[in-house]
Amino acid sequence: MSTIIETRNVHRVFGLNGMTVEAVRGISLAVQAGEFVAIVGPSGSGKSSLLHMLGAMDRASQGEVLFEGQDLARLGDGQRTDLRASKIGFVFQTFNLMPTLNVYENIEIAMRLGGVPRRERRQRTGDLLAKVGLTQRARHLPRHLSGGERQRVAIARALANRPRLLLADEPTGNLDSRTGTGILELLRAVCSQDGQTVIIVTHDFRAASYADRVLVLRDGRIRGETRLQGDLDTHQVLGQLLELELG
Amino acid sequence: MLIDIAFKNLWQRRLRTILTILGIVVAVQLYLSIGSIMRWYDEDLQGRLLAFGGKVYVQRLVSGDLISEDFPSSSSSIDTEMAQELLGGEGVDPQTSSLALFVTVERSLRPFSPPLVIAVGIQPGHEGAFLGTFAVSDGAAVLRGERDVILGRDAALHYGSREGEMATVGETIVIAGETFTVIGLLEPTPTLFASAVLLPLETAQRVFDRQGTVSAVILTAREVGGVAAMRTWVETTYPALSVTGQEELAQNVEEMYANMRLFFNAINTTIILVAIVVIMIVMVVAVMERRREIGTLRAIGARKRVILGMIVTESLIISLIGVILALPASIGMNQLAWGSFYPSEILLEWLRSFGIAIAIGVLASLLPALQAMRVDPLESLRYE
Ligand SMILES: Nc1ncnc2c1ncn2[C@@H]1O[C@H](COP(=O)(O)OP(=O)(O)OP(=O)(O)O)[C@@H](O)[C@H]1O
Ligand SMILES: [Mg+2]
Repeated sequence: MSTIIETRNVHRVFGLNGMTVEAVRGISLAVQAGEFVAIVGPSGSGKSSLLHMLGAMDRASQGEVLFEGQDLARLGDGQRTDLRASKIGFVFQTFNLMPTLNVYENIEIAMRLGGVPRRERRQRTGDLLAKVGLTQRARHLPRHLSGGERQRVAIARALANRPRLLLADEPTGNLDSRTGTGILELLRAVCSQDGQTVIIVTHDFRAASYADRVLVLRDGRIRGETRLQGDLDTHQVLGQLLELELG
Repeated sequence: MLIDIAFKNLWQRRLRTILTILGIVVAVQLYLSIGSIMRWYDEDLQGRLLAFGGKVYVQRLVSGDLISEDFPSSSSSIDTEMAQELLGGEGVDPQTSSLALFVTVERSLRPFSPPLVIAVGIQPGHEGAFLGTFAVSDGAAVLRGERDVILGRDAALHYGSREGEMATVGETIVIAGETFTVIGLLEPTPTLFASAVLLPLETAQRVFDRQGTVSAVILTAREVGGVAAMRTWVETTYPALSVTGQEELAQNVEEMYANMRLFFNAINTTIILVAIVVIMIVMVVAVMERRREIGTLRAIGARKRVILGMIVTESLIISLIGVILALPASIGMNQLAWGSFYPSEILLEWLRSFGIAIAIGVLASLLPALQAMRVDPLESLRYE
């Protein structure tokens, strides 16, 4: 297996009115292609900060973030933007769909930004709508969709350019548990069936239990790492263990 | 590239968009109107100048009268006897010179404009002294009868029996309570001539109760190049009279025109600045409201120049629609205000204003576009 993304002693310091907050304090990790990784940890532990750096949306204050072996710090804004357009998909906790575009257009926009030709865009958008089960809602505006449906549109958009890496920050954070389960199963399927690498941030252990590997963050550092295998029972047990570890 | 999104953004806040466009329509409409006023002055003044070559107007001006504002002066008054002496002066060609009486019959509604109808009493057979190079295009050029009149185009329109139609040769019209017969129509001319009603001097003196006086003596030199000598003779012999030739008129016209140009240009610049500021405010607010969406676009791979393009496009859409709608608005306003307009010229001006619209759109979008480009992808994640 090849490493798709890797961090080496990465730090992220935020400066606010002379005060500094060190959100990420020296994290080194490596994610293999095709892996499903969950990052868990209490609020404020630096999960989102880490994910933004992995997604080429934010720069590390110190240390390296390597995507396919390339140091993101060496890329300019344009190159990092292109990377986000073509190789990294991002799913937001708050969905972040374009309110003026309908479901179809919201998925297609990613491909327009990624430079996919029109004919292929139509084909792929149709496939993605089917995959997330929203073919019937293609012409609807986001405000007429439920939270779960919106998140499925967002996932379809994130997958549109067939990125090698799919990142999701609390993808079920704004959904009820049943809807959340649907989303998690979708992400799981994307990983298992299409071989996509998926990294999610969550503080929901049921969500983490869908992953192959769980990283536990605390105060900006990795405090534990668990590999999950087998059926749901063991997941539940591990979930409880992790819960204890987090306090 | 995100043209459809630009349209949808504008459509989403349509009330604001419509109001903004309305503002631009008003501004461009004003701009077009001022353009046509300026052009009208330009042509008119040039045309008037042309008609005064080789001639001088001798008048008795009330002090403070500006030649160009009230020319020929309607307050000037010279005794007929003295005027006759002038006709016999040194170097004067009495055949092509004439005594003249100018009386305003109808004031103009246009600002700073000469009268709509001015009665010009002239000695029959000497019509050319006033008309210069301008000719009669229809009917006779000489006032034979006591109640004959020759009309300029604007005057003919004024006396037309129906709205928008000119009085025709042979028609009778009523001026100051008396009836006259139209015997001739002038070709299209600048305003002073277009608004003229030429009638025999004696008739004019009687009708307007100005017996024994004239307004001006129009002198033509006997020889080409004899104007200067003729002027000198008048000025030394009659120091109380003022002599206006082409040079004074040109200078005055130029001065007045320069001032007017400055004034109109200042207004035009202001109009354009206001249009820019209006769009800029609207776009700055739009960017402020949509920071999260812009951040999301950046996060999913929109380059800065894509964002720039989107904002500039939105701004251009507003300014271009504004200009397109300004044409009918402008024609309507011209009809209302003047009762007529210069269609081809407005069209030309309109084409030119497209360039201005593009400039307005682009300039107005610079600041908001800069703000939009500065939006960080991470802003898409703020949800407080
Ligand atoms: N832009 C910022 N400016 C200043 N401080 C920040 C910024 N972003 C994050 N932080 C700080 O960094 C720390 C880690 O934040 P982060 O959002 O990464 O935590 P998290 O693990 O995602 O928390 P949560 O589970 O609540 O989302 C917090 O103390 C936060 O206040
Ligand atoms: Mg977070």
